[in-house]
Amino acid sequence: MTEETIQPKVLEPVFNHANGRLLMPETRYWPTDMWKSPWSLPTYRRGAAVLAGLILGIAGVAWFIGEIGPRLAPIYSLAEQFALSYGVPAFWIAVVWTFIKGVFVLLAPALNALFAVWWERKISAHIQSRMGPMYVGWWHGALQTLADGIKLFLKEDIVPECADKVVHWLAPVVVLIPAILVFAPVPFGKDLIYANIDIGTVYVFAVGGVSVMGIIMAGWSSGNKFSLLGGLRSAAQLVSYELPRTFAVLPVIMLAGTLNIAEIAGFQAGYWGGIVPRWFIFYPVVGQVAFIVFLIASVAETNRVPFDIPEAESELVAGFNTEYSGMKFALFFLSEFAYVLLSCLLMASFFFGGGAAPLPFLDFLPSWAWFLSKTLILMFCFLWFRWTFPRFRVDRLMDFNWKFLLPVSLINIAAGGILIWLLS
Amino acid sequence: MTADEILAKLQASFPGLVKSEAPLKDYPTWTVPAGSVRAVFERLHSKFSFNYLDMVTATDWSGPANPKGYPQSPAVTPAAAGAPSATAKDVFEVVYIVSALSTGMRLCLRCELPRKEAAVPSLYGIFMASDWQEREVYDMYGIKFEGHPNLKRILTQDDQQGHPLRKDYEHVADKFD
Amino acid sequence: MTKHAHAPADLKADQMFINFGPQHPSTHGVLRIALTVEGEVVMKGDPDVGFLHRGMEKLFEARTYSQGLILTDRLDYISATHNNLGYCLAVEKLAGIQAPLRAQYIRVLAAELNRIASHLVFFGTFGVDMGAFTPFLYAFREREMIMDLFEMLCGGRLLHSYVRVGGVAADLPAGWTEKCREFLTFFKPMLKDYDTLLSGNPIFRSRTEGVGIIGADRAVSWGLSGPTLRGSGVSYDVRKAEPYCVYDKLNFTVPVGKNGDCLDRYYCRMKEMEQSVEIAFQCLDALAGAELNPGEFMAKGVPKMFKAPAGQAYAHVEASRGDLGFFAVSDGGFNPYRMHVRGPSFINVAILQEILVGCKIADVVAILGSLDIVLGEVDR
Repeated sequence: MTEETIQPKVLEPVFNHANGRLLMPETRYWPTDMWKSPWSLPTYRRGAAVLAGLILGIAGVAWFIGEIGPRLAPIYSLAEQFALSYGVPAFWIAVVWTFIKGVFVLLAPALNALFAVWWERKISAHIQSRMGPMYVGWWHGALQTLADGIKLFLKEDIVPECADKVVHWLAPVVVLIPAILVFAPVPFGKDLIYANIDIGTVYVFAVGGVSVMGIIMAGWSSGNKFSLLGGLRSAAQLVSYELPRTFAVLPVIMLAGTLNIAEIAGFQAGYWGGIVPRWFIFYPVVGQVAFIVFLIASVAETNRVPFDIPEAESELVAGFNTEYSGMKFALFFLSEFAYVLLSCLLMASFFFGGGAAPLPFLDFLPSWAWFLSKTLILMFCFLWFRWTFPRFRVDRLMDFNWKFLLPVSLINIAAGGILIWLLS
Repeated sequence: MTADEILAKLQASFPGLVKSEAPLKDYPTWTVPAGSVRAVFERLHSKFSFNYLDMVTATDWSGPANPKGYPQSPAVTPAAAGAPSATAKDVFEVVYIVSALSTGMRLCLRCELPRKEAAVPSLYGIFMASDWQEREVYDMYGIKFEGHPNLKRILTQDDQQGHPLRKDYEHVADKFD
Repeated sequence: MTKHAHAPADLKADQMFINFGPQHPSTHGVLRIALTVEGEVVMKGDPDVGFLHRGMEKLFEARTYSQGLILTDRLDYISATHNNLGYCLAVEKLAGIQAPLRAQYIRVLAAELNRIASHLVFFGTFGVDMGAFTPFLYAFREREMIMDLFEMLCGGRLLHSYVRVGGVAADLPAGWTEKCREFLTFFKPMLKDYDTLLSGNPIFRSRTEGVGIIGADRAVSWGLSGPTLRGSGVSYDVRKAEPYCVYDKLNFTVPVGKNGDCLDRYYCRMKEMEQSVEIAFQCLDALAGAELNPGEFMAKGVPKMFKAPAGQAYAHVEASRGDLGFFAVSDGGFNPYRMHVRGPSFINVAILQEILVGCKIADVVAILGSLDIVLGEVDR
């Protein structure tokens, strides 16, 4: 690439009576000229080129690696034979293998937070016409989250004088552990699943519901009235939105005839007329309604704008995590992003065919790549909502759930039954 | 209806109400005896549609300010540093500016009070705007507004000694000095 | 100002007492609201001010008229030019000084630019109060351009002290009018952007419509002013009611609301920005005209330190937050004998004790945001 200087339009120093010119004129520029034709700016063109190259590059790498699941199978059998030859009982091999898999599942929320926080900051920055982190890491502040994590890790852990010490300590743990456990039956790709259990859907909703306890504990134990209000709000909100969220998935379960998440994803393989994928979102009316209800309820479940009333910054300072600092605060943060990832993975499995390619000729990319891209696109929606919408008021939020979402999801279940009857 | 006509009508019932000798510039200015302040404003509000209270404040006419009244010694100019004022009187003067939004007419009403145990009827109830402004005047001058339901300090802290805008106020050093 | 805030003695068992502020993200400074809540519903809200009290009115008495100007910047620091203007008008009235016509046009131009900047801050912070963070940065991007314009004009970005007794500090620098026009033409379509971003959002409307209703008679009785009063449907604007500077020669309308809820107050300010752009264009046109002598920005023979003849004067301007009045008393000396500031924020915020009753905690933030107070002016 030729050397193009990225020189934004500099405001010419204008002489005035006192100091002669603007202080530091080289740092001031107005968007007036830049916005007339953004494509004429070298920055803009270069950014687009880099983005396109990045997407193609990642696709190429994915194509080169191929499916991960089948590649791991020979490694496992090799290791198994090696261990068996030394007389290790088969039971212990299975236990160790489960632990190793568990470490990978544990990594999912951690790596996700590392990436998602950076992504959120970059996307919010570009939505708000600024740059976001640019310095830490080698490219566009890519390691900013790591630096933030180190900072949070090194920060002093402050426990308020009037807090209930034990509960205050326990709350982030109670929030985080379900957030990790919940990933067990969720597929990340074909055969990339920790525990392929038959009641996966029920398990996910049941375990995910435990985190509410931790948030209430955090709000109650902090000894802060704003935290208490935040905890109460979150109890009301999370319990309410569980209902439409679960009901929204029922038509999917009815159609697929299974509660196993991987099987639900597998059910949607194939194409209508060779072009339109048999994803659940493309089932007329029922699919779209179910998806929208699930999306809205998921945003509410993850406490994100426009449903972030438990931590409503402008009303309750920071809600239930007002009195948390350092690593404890980071754990709340981690679990929030873990639940965002979970919601996106579930939506990809339930409504977007899991690892299936959107068009038949794109089949050459492995299923995990499709899973990842669908998840990221859905995650972008979460961030997009967050930086566009104002916040609901607490009573309107409840009205919206009980008077709109819940009836709609119930009607949708009936519509799903009719659809099944029509299809049979 | 001009201000003079209103004044003439009001003077029938309030003989103490007169035109001020040194008016507020560009404003019809009247002097009211302290006792009939509330009654005059009630009449102005109900009969002459003066519905908007612009400002309530006061002036301490007891002479130049005491230089000890400032937390840190400010750059007091020669004129302020104790040169006797020609206008010095031992009174507080409460100043009201009231206007009628429908006609755009504005009035300035003044009322002189003795500096010792100064008190004047409150306008609370006629104009809600007087609520905090009267509290501020009380805070700064110690003028009592009789009938105000919540007359306590507003801008200074509630254990403040003295009333800061009085010309004889002396600052008591505290932990912030 | 209450030094030690405790729960009231008559607090019921199912009620909670919350000190909303002075350290709180959305009290716009150091306002404390003593809230008694039942769950989410506010039973009693008692605003408590004075945490930023600096004794301005006392300080005025120990400074000459020119020195006092610097203090006025610190009143409503979001719209400093209005404070300068109000103070200068009062002092000019007191001392019998007449500013030249060109200076008056420049004053109006600077005041309207500052009004836009101030309303942009309102727009941004009101969005943040509602939980929408993005409008804030959009507003501040445009405000930054106004700050640059002011920096070119007088060197200061936030506290200008540009309007001086007898005129303005300096004439418009070379090339400034072109920059100003560039900004105004850029800014005008931005207002439509703001509408699509925030004003039209259903969530935003559900948060503001019918919330914090102030009836017209209550608004007048409480002495509200500015967009807060006009949102209630009372068309009272000092620029029209008692025109100062050259406002009687300019063509503009005063936007008025209907219901007096948060949305009306918000929208009055948005519409006011449109009018300010119009006024600024008219001023720029007039300043380019031949009848105003370039370079005549200051009244002749106004010394740095002057005596005002004994007397009293009251001058008020339509500041961004309402009717800002200065009551000046002179005993014939070098400094004001008494200088009182009628701060619109101080009077506007008092109504909180009446309208907070019965609303939700989230509405407290919305109502407080829609009153658009600046604590520097409340506490003085």
